[in-house]
Amino acid sequence: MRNLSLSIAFTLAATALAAQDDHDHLSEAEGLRVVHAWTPATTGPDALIYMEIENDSETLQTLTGAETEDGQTAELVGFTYVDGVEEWQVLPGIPIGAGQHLDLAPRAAALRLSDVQTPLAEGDEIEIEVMFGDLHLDVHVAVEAQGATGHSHAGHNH
Amino acid sequence: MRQGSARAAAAFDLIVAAPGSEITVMLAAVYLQPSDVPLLTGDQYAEISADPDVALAAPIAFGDSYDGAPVVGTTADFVAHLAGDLAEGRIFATSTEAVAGAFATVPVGESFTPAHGHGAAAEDDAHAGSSYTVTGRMAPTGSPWDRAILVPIEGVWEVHGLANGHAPAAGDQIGPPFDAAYFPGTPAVLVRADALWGSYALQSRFTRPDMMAFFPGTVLAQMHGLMRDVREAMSLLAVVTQVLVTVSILAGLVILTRIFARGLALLRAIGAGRRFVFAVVWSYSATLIAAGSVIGLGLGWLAAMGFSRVITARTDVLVTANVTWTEVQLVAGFVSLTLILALLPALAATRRQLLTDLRN
Repeated sequence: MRNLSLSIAFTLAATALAAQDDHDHLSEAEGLRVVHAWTPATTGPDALIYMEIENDSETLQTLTGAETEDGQTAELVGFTYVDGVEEWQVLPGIPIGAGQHLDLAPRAAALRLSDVQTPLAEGDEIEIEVMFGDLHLDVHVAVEAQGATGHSHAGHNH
Repeated sequence: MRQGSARAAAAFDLIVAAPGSEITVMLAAVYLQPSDVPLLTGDQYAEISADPDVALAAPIAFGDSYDGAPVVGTTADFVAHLAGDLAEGRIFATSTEAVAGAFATVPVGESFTPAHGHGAAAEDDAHAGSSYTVTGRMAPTGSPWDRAILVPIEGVWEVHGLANGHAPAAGDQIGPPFDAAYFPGTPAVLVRADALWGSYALQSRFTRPDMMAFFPGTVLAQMHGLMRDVREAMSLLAVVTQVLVTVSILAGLVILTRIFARGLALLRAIGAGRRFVFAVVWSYSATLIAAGSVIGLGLGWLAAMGFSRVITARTDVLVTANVTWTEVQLVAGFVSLTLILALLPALAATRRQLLTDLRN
């Protein structure tokens, strides 16, 4: 009986942790889902934030940027490689059609947070509001290792 | 090399292909390195070309060659996108016409029969009875496409005994729209969007289990990132070499001051001061160092130009050698350091025993 109680308690605790984990990796509202938001640890003033966005709503949504809790804005940028020089160009917004998805990924597209005062270290967490026009979605961003190429939970279903 | 390969890929905004290796498809579709890759179907091509955000969806079909030059099937719109107006002649108007790359050896007006495959394994007689006539020549692009021969994709399908992308009722039509039911398949599709954001949206849209979409620039940047690590290791070797060169120069200057010791002693004997001798030795050293550095920079530039030409000839990627501020700053730093170090042998020259040097 004691073993059964322990098992139930452990299962409930694990479920609660998994739910918290899901909560950390997933944000959704009005059919929009943002999954696995992350950024590499930084040494300079810029942080590039990546994520997977799914538009399960029935209307087109346009990703326009993001802002942090203290009002700092993150602009939407796209990767370019001209004459062997890596650069990010500012984009006005990327429309995501109904039922479609958009992946912000390294050397593709990202949300760029400029003038980061304190370097972000692996294991840190930041909260941002991802903006789709007037619709704002609270998103939890995990800080991964400096050379990371994806979220540590990439590939998990949420 | 980095700039040249990036410029060669500049016209290829987004490549869509069947799932597989991005590097393999990029090398095949952008740099025309032959590879066997799975094909996109007619339905997949139709879906790509019908996307409202797609301004250009050009199929790229490779696999044949002529006299060592790749014969690539595509559309007239792709030729215009890649090289602009033709330098000579006109664009192909039938499935048996072709446009030569800027430096392809086949002249305008000549007919040829393509071989199946590339290099030593090419089957010269596989397409016997089929031929293309060259009607025009593209302007240079600085890419491997300058050595290629471009034909309508319908021609590639026809010489392989396949449907030509159009229903029989379409007659001799070439170019889009294609009929998915008569579309034999294509290894890659170049996709271009008009809107600034379009390529990024399309890349996500066409990345799915049955097809992949990638930016050649992204794949290239990743490859260059790996090469950068090798370059940094070589830079470290270069620094070590420079230290050895600097030590050698100092040793050479010390030896020179000993060789000229009697002359310097005579100068002092007829009344020249230590500062004058110091200035003579240091100025002489400075002249040698400055002249050697300028000559070295020039020889380095000539060597880089030679290597660039060899690489361009072997890869068809236009590689140019430039003396940039980085090289100038490197030489300036080296000259400054050695000029400061040259003060030591100049100082040593003023400390020598006058009578001993005069007797030698």
